[in-house]
Amino acid sequence: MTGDMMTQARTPAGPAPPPLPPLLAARDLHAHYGGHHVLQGIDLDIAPGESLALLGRNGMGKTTTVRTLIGLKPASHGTILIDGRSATGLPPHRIARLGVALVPEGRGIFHNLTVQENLYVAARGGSGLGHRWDLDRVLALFPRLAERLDSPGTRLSGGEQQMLAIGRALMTNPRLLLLDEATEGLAPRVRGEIWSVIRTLKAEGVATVIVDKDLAQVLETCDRAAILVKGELAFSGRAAALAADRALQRRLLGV
Amino acid sequence: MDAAAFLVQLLNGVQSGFLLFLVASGLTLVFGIMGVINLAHGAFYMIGAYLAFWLTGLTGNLLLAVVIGVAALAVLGVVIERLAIGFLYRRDHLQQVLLTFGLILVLDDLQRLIWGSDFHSVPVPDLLSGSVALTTQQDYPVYRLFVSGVCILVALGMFALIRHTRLGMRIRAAAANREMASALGLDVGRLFTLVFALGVALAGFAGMVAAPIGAVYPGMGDRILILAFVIVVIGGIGSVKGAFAGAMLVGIADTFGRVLVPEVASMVMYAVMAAVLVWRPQGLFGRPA
Repeated sequence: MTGDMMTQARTPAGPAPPPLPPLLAARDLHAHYGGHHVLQGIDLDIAPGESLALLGRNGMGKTTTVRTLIGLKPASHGTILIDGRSATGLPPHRIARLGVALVPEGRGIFHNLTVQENLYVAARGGSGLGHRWDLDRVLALFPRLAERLDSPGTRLSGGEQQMLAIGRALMTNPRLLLLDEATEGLAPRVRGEIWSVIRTLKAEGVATVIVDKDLAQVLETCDRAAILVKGELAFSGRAAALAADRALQRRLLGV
Repeated sequence: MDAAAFLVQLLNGVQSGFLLFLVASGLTLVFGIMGVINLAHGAFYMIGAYLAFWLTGLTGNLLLAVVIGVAALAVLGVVIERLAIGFLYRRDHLQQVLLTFGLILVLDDLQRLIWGSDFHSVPVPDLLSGSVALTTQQDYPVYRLFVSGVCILVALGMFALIRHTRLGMRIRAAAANREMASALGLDVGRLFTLVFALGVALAGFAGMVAAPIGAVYPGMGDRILILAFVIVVIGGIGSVKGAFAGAMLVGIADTFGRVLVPEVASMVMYAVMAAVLVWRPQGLFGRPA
């Protein structure tokens, strides 16, 4: 997009750059669907424990970016590094085992598994972060799931399904959580609960990439923000800077 | 038909149903979980029967033959899944049918190469060669009862595996949503290899325990394959419960058909299938399309 924004992308405004090497670094990511060039050279850095708001109007490539990061959509060009080591072209289960977890758009609850089985199915230890997530901790975070452990996963309300999807991802003890449409279609009260959980995770040191339409909330929650326009990064910088710049929001997000 | 003869036929039908269930459950699992139509499934039943014949000859012990044979078939299943079936998951059914039909030809030729075209029989183990008296005039072979018992155990074991183990949980998750399962760190490819090997082992196991009841001959898998497909369609594609109900229906209908209406016996199971499909087009336990 504009030159000044891209400069900002390379040298983030604010204090010293994050002291830790990036947990995940993507360089020049491209992705195609059929003949359609959906991602046209994305660079992203996510430091340990950092949260990134991934923004953009519909069809700009947010979901494709998330899918490419976890390997569900192989990049047609570019590299992905996790802990500085190449994860480019790895299948999703290998990337997941490096500490990345997905809460997808539509939630992806396993309809033929009970709530408890959904939580257990991919449970894994060892992210090295704080104390590990297990069934008790996930149920403490989402008490409503505790009452529904034996129900089929799809017998839940939308909000409960989203809690289940987050809980299921936490059971893999991820260091990076990708949340696509974190609160879409949920009642306001439930949305509030989900945001509060996301802040809790942040406090625990879990890094997050969050796609959400609630601009005010997502910018308040996240450290940094990136805006996709037609498969390119039009903005990358501090979330607070974007929150303060209504003109930029209007121009790139149409809000 | 008097009551005793009826009982004998019913037992035969149930026992045949159990055997058919082992074959059909593998077929329906592979289709339901991986979406692959495996025409070669009957050929694994045949290979199982030949392995029972060959290994019983070598070891003199059917039990030992079955243990070795099942292990060998599971390995064969892994190899075939890795070399061939694994390439079919995202392809259309025509390609699956072509490749698995090709597998039948290959396996049939291998069978002829190794064991020739003769008919063989496998002796019933001494321990199980007796009969029990059903009534004063009617005996029933112990081995057939034994086969039913073994099939029940295997079926229960399979239900327990799918319902109550973490592996079964993961298989169900991968069947429901392959992408989501892999994004959570499950190696779906390896799960599918396991499921295929399990299906091959089940079909082969059925061929092995059936060998002492009938003959072992070239192409014996073809009839079983068609029966298994009829069962899967009756039960609802992908449903193990349905495969069980379908296998019992077909086993019993086929057995009684041969006794009561021998002229049209080969049509009976198709009539059953047609009747079920008129009543429930998705099969007994299938989800509506």
